[in-house]
Amino acid sequence: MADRSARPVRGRPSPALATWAVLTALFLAHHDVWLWDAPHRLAWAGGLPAGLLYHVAYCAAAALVMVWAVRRFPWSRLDRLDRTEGSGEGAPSPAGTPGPGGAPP
Amino acid sequence: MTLAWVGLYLAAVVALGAVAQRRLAASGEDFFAASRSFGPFVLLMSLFGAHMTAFSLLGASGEAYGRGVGVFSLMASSSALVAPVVFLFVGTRFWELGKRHGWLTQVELVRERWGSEGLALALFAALAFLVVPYLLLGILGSGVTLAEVSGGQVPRWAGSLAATAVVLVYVTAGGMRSTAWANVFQTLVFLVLGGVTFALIVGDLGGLSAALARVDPALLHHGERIRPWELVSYALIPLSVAAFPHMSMHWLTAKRAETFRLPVVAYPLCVAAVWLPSVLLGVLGSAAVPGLAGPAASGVLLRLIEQHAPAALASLLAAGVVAAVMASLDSQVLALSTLFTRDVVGRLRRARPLSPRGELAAGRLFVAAILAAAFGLSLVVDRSLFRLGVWSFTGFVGLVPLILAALFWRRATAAGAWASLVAAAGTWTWFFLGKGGPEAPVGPSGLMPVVFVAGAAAVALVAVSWATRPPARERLEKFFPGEAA
Repeated sequence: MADRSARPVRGRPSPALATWAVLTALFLAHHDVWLWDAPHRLAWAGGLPAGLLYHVAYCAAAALVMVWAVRRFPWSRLDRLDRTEGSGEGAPSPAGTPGPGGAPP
Repeated sequence: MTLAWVGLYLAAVVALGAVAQRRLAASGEDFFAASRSFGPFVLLMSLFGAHMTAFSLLGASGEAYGRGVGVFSLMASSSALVAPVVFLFVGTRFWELGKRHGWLTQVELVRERWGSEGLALALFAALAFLVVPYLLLGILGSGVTLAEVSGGQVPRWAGSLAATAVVLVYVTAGGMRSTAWANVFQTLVFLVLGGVTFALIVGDLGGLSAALARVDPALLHHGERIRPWELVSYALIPLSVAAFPHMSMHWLTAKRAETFRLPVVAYPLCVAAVWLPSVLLGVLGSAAVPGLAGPAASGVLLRLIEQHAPAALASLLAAGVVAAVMASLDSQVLALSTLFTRDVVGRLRRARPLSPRGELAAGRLFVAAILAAAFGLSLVVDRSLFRLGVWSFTGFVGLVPLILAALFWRRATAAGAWASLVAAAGTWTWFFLGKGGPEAPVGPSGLMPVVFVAGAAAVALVAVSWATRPPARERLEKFFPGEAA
């Protein structure tokens, strides 16, 4: 799997920034104020209320975003640890660790 | 008949524990982290089993019984996003540091990060204090389940005792390995049986559409039963995953970093698969089993099973509920045992460290002691499972700034960490002792206590860290090699 975060492209937003932007947008979409007082049920969805169906679809959307996020995550930096170290004190440390942005800080 | 099926199920779980024991190496690392050997599927199932508790099945359906479908958005869909994000960023980072340095607990991480024995001990106390109500959720949930399915023949205390005893047997037998294997088995059981339960009950009620038509329409949208700021506040609750000691222990069992891929991607779908039937059955129960109030509403799912599923299947379905309850109870007990063994006994015996066999024996002893104490407490506690859970989660969210700072923020200082811990403990205690519950709006803000607990902890951490001297470069080197400027 390509480690896209390791290949920043000039002129484009950084991979970490794009990841966090998408996650933030998804977080904001969780707060569905537009469906707050909508009690109508959708016949094509087995009669499920619209608001509930929205949140079920939200879970599916979250799964898709996670597929995208794991493709951008710098696994190769962590897997270097697998190849070069065992567990336990005193083992040598690889340079660089992933930061909270999914890319090295 | 019912009890025979549940008994058979419990025996199967014990047998799994016995098989796992055969593979147990005589060391603490194998007992507590299965020698960091699990693949993606076992990691997914054990994380999910540990996270989904009586809260997710009995608590969620009980809450939806009174508050409607909005309960799904409060807890499930927010978890579907927040939990996998935490696994991806916090879980992999914790796994990396744990593997590199041989750490097994968050307390070890914090001790090394700031070089403070007192801070580590205070964090241990906070974690242990907050896991106890979470443990009680499982023990109370199993008592409620077995009492309901036996029609009252088995008293609640006996049901709780049975589940506690089974968890005791298989956790002490194989530690993390038997816990994870049992979790895989139990998570599959409750996922499959959850779907079967839902289909059977809804079918007996005349189909989903017909059953929903009988429900009070006010339960079919957020409306006035859920406040907009409550939804915002609840979105913080799943952050507690970052501070749960049992989740971090499961992260450490991953064989490789890429083992996290499957749990991260599949988690949102697993959450929906468990919560959707739970919430819908709670809502349908409001029309089918009216009149339940307070903690009794937590039993609505079991009442529905009893009334609307064939007798032979009802017992099997009840076993599925017990499975969900035990799948989290075991992990929490093991996590507490690890904390006691590594962070209390291990530190007290620094001059004369425990042998691998000694560490194993201490771990088992603590599992037994913790379960006995939690069972004793369950006899005197009678609170709504949902409320009990939300208080516990609120406290864990208060610890998240400290955990994140330890993992990611080079400038965070020991004084800042202390301030964060004190601020979280102080605000949590203040709200807990107040009149409102964990969901009560604070003043005119409409926000829940969790926002203020987490906010106070984060502000204290940042303010005090900036006001104090940065940590020494040598100490940071262990955490941020090559970049500890």
